Amino acid sequence: MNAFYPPATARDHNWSPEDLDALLRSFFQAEMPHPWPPLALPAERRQPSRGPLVRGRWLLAASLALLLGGTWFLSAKLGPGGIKPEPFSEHGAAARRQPTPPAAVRPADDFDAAPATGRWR
Amino acid sequence: MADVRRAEFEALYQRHGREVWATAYARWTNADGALDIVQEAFLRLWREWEAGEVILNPRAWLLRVARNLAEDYVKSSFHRNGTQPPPVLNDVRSTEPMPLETLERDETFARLRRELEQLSPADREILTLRYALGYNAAEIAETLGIQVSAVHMRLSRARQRLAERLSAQGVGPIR
Repeated sequence: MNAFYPPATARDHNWSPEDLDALLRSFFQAEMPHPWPPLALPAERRQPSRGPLVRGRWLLAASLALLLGGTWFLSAKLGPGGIKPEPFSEHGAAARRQPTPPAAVRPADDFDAAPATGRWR
Repeated sequence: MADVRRAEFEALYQRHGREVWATAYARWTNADGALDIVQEAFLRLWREWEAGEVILNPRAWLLRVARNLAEDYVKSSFHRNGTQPPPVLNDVRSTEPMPLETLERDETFARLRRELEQLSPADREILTLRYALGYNAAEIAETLGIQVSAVHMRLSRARQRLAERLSAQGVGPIR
């Protein structure tokens, strides 16, 4: 403790180490705020709920996946190497496009009743 | 979770607040201004925490910010007040009549403050750590990052310079 005290000099003879110590201690204690004030932190910011955000992201991801999957599916079906049109054959679509044949031959009683126009020949 | 963080931060404030105040006060010799700097330094640290920054040594961070803020305040107060820093302009803090002893003490304190302002920041800092915080030589050495023997030497010289200045100004001990 004595190491803090300087040797007395001619100019500070009226300030003993104890006097200077007491003055400095009382001065700094008076300067220090009493009581020590509380810290004024900003009010806590409420974090918005993340539920809707997460749901929105999942919805967006699902929509994108559906869009890409649909595009891929359609291109696989309709593009080159995909669904081919049926060949033109008598069993195919061309055959089915032939006009409907006339109705079956009517019974004989109807034939007799019909006028002789040759229509039913 | 937020409450825990706040409690941790409050504890940090209680642990280091006075030291930060002393650091700012040693630069500026203005008790109220130093308190503003304490609030500002801790507020900045809080924002760093909120931003997720990792500060390994908050005490060192706070002291560095307080020193920088105090330097800025000293410069800006010089522009506002000319050559007279705020404590000189605001020596009289109250118009209420006071007992003679209180008047004498306040007068001595005002003159001491003026003489402290004339000392170097290093002298003011070591005196503030010793007398405002009551630190011993080892604690001062740890705070300033110097040897204990250097603390003894610096403190002794700072006290001597202050005593000389007070004597030269005719300021004597309070009886």
